[in-house]
Amino acid sequence: MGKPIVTVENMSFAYGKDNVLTDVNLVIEEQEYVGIIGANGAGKSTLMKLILGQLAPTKGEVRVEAKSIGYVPQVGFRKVSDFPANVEEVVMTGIYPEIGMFHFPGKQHRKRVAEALALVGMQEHRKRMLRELSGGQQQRVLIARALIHEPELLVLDEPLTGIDKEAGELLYLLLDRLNRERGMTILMVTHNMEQVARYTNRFYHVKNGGVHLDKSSILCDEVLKDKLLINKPKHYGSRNVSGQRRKLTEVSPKEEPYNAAYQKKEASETEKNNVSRKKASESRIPEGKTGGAASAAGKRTGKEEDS
Amino acid sequence: MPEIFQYAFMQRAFLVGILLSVIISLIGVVVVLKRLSMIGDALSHTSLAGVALGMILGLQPVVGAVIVCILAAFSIEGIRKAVPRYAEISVSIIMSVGIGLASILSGYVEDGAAFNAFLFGSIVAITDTEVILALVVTVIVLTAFILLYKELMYIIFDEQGAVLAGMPVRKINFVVTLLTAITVSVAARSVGALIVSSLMVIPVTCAMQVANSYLKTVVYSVLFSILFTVVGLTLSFYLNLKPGGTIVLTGVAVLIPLMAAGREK
Repeated sequence: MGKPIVTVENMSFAYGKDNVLTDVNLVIEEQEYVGIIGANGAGKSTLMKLILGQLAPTKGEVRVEAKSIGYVPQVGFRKVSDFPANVEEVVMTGIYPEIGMFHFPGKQHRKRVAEALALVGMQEHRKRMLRELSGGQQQRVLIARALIHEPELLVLDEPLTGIDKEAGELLYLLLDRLNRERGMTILMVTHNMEQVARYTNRFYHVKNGGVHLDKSSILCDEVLKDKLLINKPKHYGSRNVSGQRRKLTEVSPKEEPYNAAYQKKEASETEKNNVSRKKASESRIPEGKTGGAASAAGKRTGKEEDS
Repeated sequence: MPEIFQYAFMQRAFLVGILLSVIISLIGVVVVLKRLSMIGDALSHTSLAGVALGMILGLQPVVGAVIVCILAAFSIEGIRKAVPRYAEISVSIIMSVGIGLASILSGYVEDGAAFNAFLFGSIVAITDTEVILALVVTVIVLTAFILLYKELMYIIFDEQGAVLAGMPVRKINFVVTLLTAITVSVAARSVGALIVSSLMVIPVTCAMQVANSYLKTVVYSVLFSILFTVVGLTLSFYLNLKPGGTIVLTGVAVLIPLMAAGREK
């Protein structure tokens, strides 16, 4: 059994009084390729935000024990795809946190950009503007941006948005290669069940406030069969009965610093404000990778937030 | 020496004009790419309320403008976060408040001509103190933008990702909001409150037509802004036109063919 990278235990989440996810259990182990599928509004993006630490659970806990996370946003939004930057600049942003504030990229950083672009087959396009590329090419650039700091966990948000079928197929093949050849743990949030079923080790359905493993995906990988968790909500559509309901709070970087380079600079301030969180931070993996755009080894609990 | 530079007031106008054109265009890059182009309009209109308030209370009008502008800028941010799906309404609300306040308060201003000078600017009538003020603000804004170049680009491109990466996004947004408010207030005196927002948007839009990288977009925005200011001031001197309006129309005259050429590509 591999090391768990993401562990979600008895986790519930509500936006104000509206329960979105109830009593969710989910484990993603290292080198796994896991999909999260569901209809629009089912709560899959909320689950992804909880895993990324952008939201805190109302109840239960979310543990992420990856040294760094690579996050690939949707390219469908105009703000990303129309941004006036060339490919090299976009990929370089992936190591901006590593370079640190008040410093500028050097030759070695440009070399790493070239390597990341080569990995996704986009090295010839490095001087082209992002908006000149097709949706599939833009997605590859964003993957290169996420890969440049060698993340332990790669999270993709609807990678097929705005991409034709053929480009989508190539993208899945790329992700499959990254998973098989580099052993990268991949979590993909999507609504495309057909392709998820074909490439991922297993996939979870987000439906009716619960997250459950798709039984067909168990058959996809017999080896994993015995260690999978299936958890349907006990109280479908019900309010959180634990009495631990709390207001939705976004986890700010000050509260949950992901990157050591920035963390150091704000350490004293964070310490002053985070006395009640000290216990939680002790349970984190102490040696976060300083180079990651999103180094993460965090635990977020509903109880902790309540305190 | 050309006739235009023989006058001390024109030398000051060129100096302040160039300094402000640099920082207005830098602020412009952020607001245009964040899709908040109207923020300049809202702040400049609100700055007029501050000017009127300053005059009524016997303060320096620029000081009144800076204080009210800062309050307005943070109110925009506050409303934007309260209704994130309709972020643009925050700008409209504050602009309405600014115009309303400015129109009411202007009725109590005794020196109407001095107040009107802030509407369209009076770059050829600025004092030595205002030159120093523009110089100080330029140094601060320029330094902040150079030092935060990477972080600003990251936040504009992918604010969610910047938060994930552990960047101090809130602090950087706070600094930019503060600098935007100060720049708009100071620029209102010279180029005019009604014109400053155009100077934020037009050079960036021109730069986006020709630049092939983010760095070039920033650099070209500054260069276009300086070009419009120098040409506009020169034309206004020889053709006896209002400087603020001439600068903006010079920018529009360059933008139209650039956009037409961009469509043909």
